[in-house]
Amino acid sequence: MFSESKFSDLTESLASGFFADKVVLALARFQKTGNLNKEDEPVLKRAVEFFKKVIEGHNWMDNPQLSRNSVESASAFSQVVRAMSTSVSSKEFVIYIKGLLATAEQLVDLKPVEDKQVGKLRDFFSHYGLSELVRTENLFQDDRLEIFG
Amino acid sequence: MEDVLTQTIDYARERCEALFSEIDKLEQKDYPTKQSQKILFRFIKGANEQIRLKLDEIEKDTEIRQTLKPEELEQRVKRYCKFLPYLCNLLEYIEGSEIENTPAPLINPLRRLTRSCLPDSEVIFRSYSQLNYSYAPLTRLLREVFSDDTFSNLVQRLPNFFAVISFPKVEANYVLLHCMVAHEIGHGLYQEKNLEDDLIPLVKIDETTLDRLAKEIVESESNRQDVSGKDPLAEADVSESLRVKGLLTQGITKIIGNWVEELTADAFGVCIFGPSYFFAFINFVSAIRLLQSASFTHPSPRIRMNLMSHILNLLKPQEKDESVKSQQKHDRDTLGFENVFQGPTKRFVQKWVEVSSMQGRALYPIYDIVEKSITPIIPGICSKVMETMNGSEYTAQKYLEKTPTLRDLIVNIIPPNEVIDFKKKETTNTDVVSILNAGWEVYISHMDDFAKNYQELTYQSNKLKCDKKLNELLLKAIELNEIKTRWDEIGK
Repeated sequence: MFSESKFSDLTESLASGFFADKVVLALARFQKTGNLNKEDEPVLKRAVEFFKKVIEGHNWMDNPQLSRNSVESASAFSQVVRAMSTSVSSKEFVIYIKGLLATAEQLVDLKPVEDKQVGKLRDFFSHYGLSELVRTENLFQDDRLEIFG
Repeated sequence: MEDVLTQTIDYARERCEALFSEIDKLEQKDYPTKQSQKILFRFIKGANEQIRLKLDEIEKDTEIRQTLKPEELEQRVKRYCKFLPYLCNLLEYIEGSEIENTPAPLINPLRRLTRSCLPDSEVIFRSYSQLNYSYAPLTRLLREVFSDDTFSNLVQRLPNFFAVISFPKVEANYVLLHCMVAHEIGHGLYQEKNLEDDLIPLVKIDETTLDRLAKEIVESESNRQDVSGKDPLAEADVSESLRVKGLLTQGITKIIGNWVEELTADAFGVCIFGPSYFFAFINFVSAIRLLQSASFTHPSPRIRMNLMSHILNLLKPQEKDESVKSQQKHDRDTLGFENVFQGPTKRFVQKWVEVSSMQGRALYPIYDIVEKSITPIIPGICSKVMETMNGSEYTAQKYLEKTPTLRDLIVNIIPPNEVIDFKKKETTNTDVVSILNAGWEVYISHMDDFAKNYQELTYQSNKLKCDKKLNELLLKAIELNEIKTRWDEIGK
């Protein structure tokens, strides 16, 4: 049986992965048609908010104030760091995330955006979604080990 | 690749079918509160059906297959498949809630009590194999996971507050311990009233200690990688520092969030159940936990007891309370719990309050930072909880009014479901909280008399037998009390 905290982690992991899949599908549709579907707009708006939270989470230790928002931001930051497959410095990380944020904002504002940039954004979410899928799997796996280990 | 995916979807559909059959089987069982189980069955069935439909849709949708890359498509299918073990885990919340696995007469009164704190709530009470009490806020979790439009109908039909409260199977009939449930109701109140928004910002973190901890961790990581001699936070090693920063940021904020919620739930527990929650906590936790041991999810029992003793002394009669309006302020102030306990109960409380105020030693630096940050806000948590209870808390006055009569009934092996006024020749129905408080008073201070009246026994040599009898007597009182309460409700 899952402990309540593990159940809560599982919930977070599934929800995050599900969100990543939705962004991937929205971007794939955009790359295919060159237009942003009406139904995909809220998904990309959420992606914009997500990147803002990641940056806030990154900066949290400089001014460690606490609120519901700071807890969410910390979680978003930590999830993205966990998903990073290449070693990047703190500065590079912020530049990278800000670049993705800019692309997502351009899409939401219906401004022209290079296909290469959309591709980068799509790769990020595809990788982030995969990382959450692995995390979900590990959460199930860990539990099994606890029972039979 | 296409073939493999089609086959995967086919196998996933088999899992869906198996889940449907399992639900059918579980639906045939008897539960003390059928309504709550029905809600969860309906949700799991509905979600299972939607997943099956979604997989069918992906299989047939040529557009999505042409739009997504193969690995993205596979990921999408696997994500839906991952909901299946999740739904199976949800089903486990129903197992153990059957009549034969719960102290059935206690379930309805607990449900009634929960609904008096959280109107329109639904709760499943179940026993499980862990030696623990726990709480799962299902509505909140399910709304988060099933946020997609596909599931919107199902999620909307959930009650605003729907939770599972689990208690240990091995002590299912020891009702005195079940006062621990008060803490779990406290979780519901914390979440329902959004107290996180008021309480979390009160916590101030010591930035210098936090920085020092971050540096120490990075240093030890760098040393392990044989790069000693470098500045641990220099550019060359910052990828490591980024990772540490991620872990620390999430760790500290999550631990603080968890601990504030736990402490607030404890304060609610005492307000709802009075000292009986404090007694149950000491009895249950001191046997299985180190008093100074904290974890990612819970502060140490020592801090928790410290908070409980603090709030116990705030539970004085309110000025607006009719029965005490005429009393002088001085008299009211002396009616805190510190002044109403007597004899062995008083000594018991003093001993544990002393233990809880001893200086603790946190095992890990991160817990030390959090403990130092949270301790100053304990009075703030208690005030907020008192404000939220708004006069409905269990005060020392209520304890004084009912406990002596109920205690005497118990000691004479009579179920304490009514308060008897011998002068007026009247009886008044009591409530489950007063029954449990009287039960604890007997358990701590009067078991010798109880044992003597129950088969002329000596308590010390017949402890288990007498404890069992005491819990049976209390359960009977709760059952009789519930019958009377329902009878009165029908009459109205």
